[in-house]
Amino acid sequence: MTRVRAKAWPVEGLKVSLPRKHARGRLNWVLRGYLAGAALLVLLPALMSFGLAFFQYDTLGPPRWAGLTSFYLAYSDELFLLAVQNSLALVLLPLPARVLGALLLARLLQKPGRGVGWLRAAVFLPGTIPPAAFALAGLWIFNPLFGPVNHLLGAVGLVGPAWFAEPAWAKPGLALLSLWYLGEGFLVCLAALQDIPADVNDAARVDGAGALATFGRITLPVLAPTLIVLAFRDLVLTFQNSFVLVSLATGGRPYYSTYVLPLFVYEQGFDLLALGTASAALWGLYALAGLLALGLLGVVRLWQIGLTDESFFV
Amino acid sequence: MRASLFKPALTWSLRLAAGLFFCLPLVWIGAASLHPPGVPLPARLGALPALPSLENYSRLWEIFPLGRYAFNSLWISLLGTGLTLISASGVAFAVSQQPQKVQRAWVIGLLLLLLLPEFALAPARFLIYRGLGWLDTPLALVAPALIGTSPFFILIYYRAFRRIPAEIFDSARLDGAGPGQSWARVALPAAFPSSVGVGLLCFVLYWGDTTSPLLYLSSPRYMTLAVGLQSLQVLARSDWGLLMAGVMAALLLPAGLLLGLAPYFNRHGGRGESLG
Repeated sequence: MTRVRAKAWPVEGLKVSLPRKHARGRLNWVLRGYLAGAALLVLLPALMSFGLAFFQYDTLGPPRWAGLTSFYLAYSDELFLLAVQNSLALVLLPLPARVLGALLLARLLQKPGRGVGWLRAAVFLPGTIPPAAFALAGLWIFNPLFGPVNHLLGAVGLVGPAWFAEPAWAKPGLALLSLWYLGEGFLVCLAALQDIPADVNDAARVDGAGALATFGRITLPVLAPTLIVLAFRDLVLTFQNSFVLVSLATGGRPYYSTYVLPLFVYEQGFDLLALGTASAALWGLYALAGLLALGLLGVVRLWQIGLTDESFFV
Repeated sequence: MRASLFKPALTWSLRLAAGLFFCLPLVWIGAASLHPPGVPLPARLGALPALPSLENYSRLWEIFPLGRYAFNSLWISLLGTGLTLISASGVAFAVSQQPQKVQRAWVIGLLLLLLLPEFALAPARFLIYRGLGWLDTPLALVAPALIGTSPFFILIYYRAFRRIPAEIFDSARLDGAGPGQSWARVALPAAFPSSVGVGLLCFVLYWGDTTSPLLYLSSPRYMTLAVGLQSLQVLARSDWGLLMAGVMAALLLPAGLLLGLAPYFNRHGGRGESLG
C-alpha cells in the first residue's frame, strides 16, 4: 500500500518530507532475525555468565544460591583490586597514543598519490599478525638480551630495560607493543576522513585558515563521532586483547605487574573452579568498561563536539 | 620556492618513517625465522643472520600439519567474512531505514553489546553449542558471523549508509526498488570502501582466532593455524627461530591479502568518489 502511494508522490515543488524509510516489513524481519541471533549467541551466554555471580558453583555439583557472597569474595580479594588497577593502567596508557596516532597517520596518508597505497598497507601490516602470534613476536622483540628493541637502543648508546622481566617496565612494554596494532583504528579514521567534502577544506583555506586551524576546527569535530566509537572499541578491545596478549606473553608476571582483570576471572573460573566469584569479577569488568566509556562520552559532551545533526548518535 | 619544496619533503619523510616503523616487527620476525637452528642468536642488531636458512620452516611441518591447518584457516576465515559482510550490512541497512528514535535506540544497544567481553561469553557459548549439536563442526567457529561478528562492523556500515544522501534512496524507491534491491544496488555499492575495510578486519579476526577452535573443536579435522601456533609455543618455548617461523607462516596469508589490496587503498583515497 505505502509503495503505491509513494509512487504517486513525485510532484515537483511539493517538498513533502518523503519518509526516508522503505516499506519496513521485510526490513523488520532482518532486525528480528538479528535480535534472535544476538539473544542466542550473546544475551543468553551473557545472562548465564553474569547470572552465575549469585550462585556458588564449582562445576562438580549443581549451582547453589549464594546471594551476594560471590561479590563480597571477589571484591574483597586483594588480587582483584590489583587487577583493576593494572587493567585501568594498561587500557589508559596506550589509549590516547593509539587513537591520536591512528588519526594523525590517517591524516598523513590521506591524500592519494604514488606509493601512498603501499604505505597505508604498511601501517596495517602488523595488524594482520594473529594475536597469539603477536604475543610470541612481542616476547622476541622485547627480549632483554637479544631482542631487536634493546639492540636498537644499544645502537644509539642507551641501555634498554629488561621489559617483561622487570615490574616497572612490563606495562610500558605492553603499551608500546599495542601501538603496532593500531591498523584497525587507522583504517576507520581513513574512511572517516574521506567523508569531509574537499570544498569545506578549500573554503577554510580561502578564508586563511592554516593547516592546524583546519585540523582543529574542521577535521577534529567532523571526526569526533568516529573517534568516540574508536576509543570505545579500543577500551573493550584492550580489555580483551590484553587477555590474549598478557596470558601468552607475560601471564601476569613479573610480580603481578601485568595481572589484569580477565586473568583474575580466568584463574578464579578455570583454575580455582570458583565460577561464582569469577562471574562477580566479570560484573566489575563490565561496569569498569561502561564507566570508562561513559566518562569518554561525558568529556565529548563537555566539549560539545561531534554532536551536531550529522552526528553518529542521531 | 623553498617553502613549496620543504613541505612535501617533510610530509614524505614523515610518511616513510611511519611506514618503516610499522614494517619493523615483520622485518625482525622474518630475520629471526631465517636463523639456523642451534646457532647462538646474534648479540647485536643485524638484519640477517650470517647464514640464512629455511630449516625452521621445514621443521614446522614436522610439528603440525601446516598445510591442512592453513587450508582450514583459509576457508573458515573466508566463510566467516562472507557471512559477516551480508549480515552486518543487512542489519545496518535495516537500522538506517528506521525512524530516528528507533535508530538511536539501536545504536545505543549495539554500543552496549560492544562492551561485552567476548572471552566471558565463551564458556556459556560452549554449553549452547553443545545443546545445538554444533560442537566440533565449523558452524561453532563461524556462528558469530550470522550476527555480524561484532556490533562494531554493523556500526561501521550504519555510519556509511547514513552518509548516503536520502534522495538517492528516494529515487531508487520511486523507480520501484524494494528494500532488498535498495540494499544490494544502492547502499552496498556506495559503501564499498567500508566493505573492503570490514572484510579485511573480519578476515584477520577469524584467521587469528584461537579461543573458538580450542574451546569448541575436539578433533583435529577443522583445527586452524592459530591453534597450531599455540601448540608450537608449548612445545618449543625458547626456540626463537622456530617460533618466529611459525609467526611468519601465520601472517603470510593475511599480509598477502593486505598487500594485494594495497593498490586499491590508493585509488579510493579521495572523497567519496564511490558515491558518484
